[in-house]
Amino acid sequence: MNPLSVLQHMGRRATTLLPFSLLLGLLFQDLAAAARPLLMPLVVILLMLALARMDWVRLCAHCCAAPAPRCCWRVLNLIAVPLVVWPIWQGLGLWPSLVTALCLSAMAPGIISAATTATFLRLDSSLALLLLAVHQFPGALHPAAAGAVAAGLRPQDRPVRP
Amino acid sequence: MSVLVLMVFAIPLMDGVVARAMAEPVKLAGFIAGSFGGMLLCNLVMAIATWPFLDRRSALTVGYCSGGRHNALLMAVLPVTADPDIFLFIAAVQFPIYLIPTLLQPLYRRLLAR
Repeated sequence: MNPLSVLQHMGRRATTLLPFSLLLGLLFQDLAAAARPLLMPLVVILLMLALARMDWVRLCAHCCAAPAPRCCWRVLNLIAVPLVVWPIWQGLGLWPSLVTALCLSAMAPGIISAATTATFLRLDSSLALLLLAVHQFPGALHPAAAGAVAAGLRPQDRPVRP
Repeated sequence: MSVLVLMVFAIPLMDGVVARAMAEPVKLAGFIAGSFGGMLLCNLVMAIATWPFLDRRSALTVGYCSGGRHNALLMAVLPVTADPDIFLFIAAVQFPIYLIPTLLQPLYRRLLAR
């Protein structure tokens, strides 16, 4: 069996295979615990693979485009989206900790694997990688998020342990 | 190759999830449902916001990138005394990260085929 053809076949069935990997982790908890040190190296490998698949001509075209759209996207994604979703989560009467987590999540930068999975979905993976790169700098959670964390994690809000 | 790495990556992310599921099944289910809603809502908001200004494929890409968030970074910036539910959320959010591509693929195929 040709390993390359196996990998190609897996690539065509990516969106079907990915959920099964979650199942593997759930079924084999000892394996999941033992594999934790692999997380960081795998993140690096994922990023390297995403870069290796890049359409650099298209990426350069995106980079050479006016910076205003990228700045707008960053402002929209890090500030406007959290402001839009925050009242929605507040109004649904969810667990307060879940509301806090969802709002913090909305302020976090994009996930690197999105550039990889965008390829499977026939989205613009070059644009995805550029957006995610822009999103990572200059920092992860920006000061507004830090303030929200400080406000949301007041001692009186912490659950009382039995 | 990317698929293989992503599959291997998912395994350690599930560490401890079964124990939490047995201890707090309703809460974990609620957090998983909430994380699905969170990703889809962020995706929808950004896709709609950029739809008038970009071509269809770019707007859908922007929305998709906005949906998935690097929640593990929360572990780096939160204090050790932070609400443990935040860490439960980080585990719960792995489910939509791996399942949403499967769920959205038919929709993206239809929208990009036009």
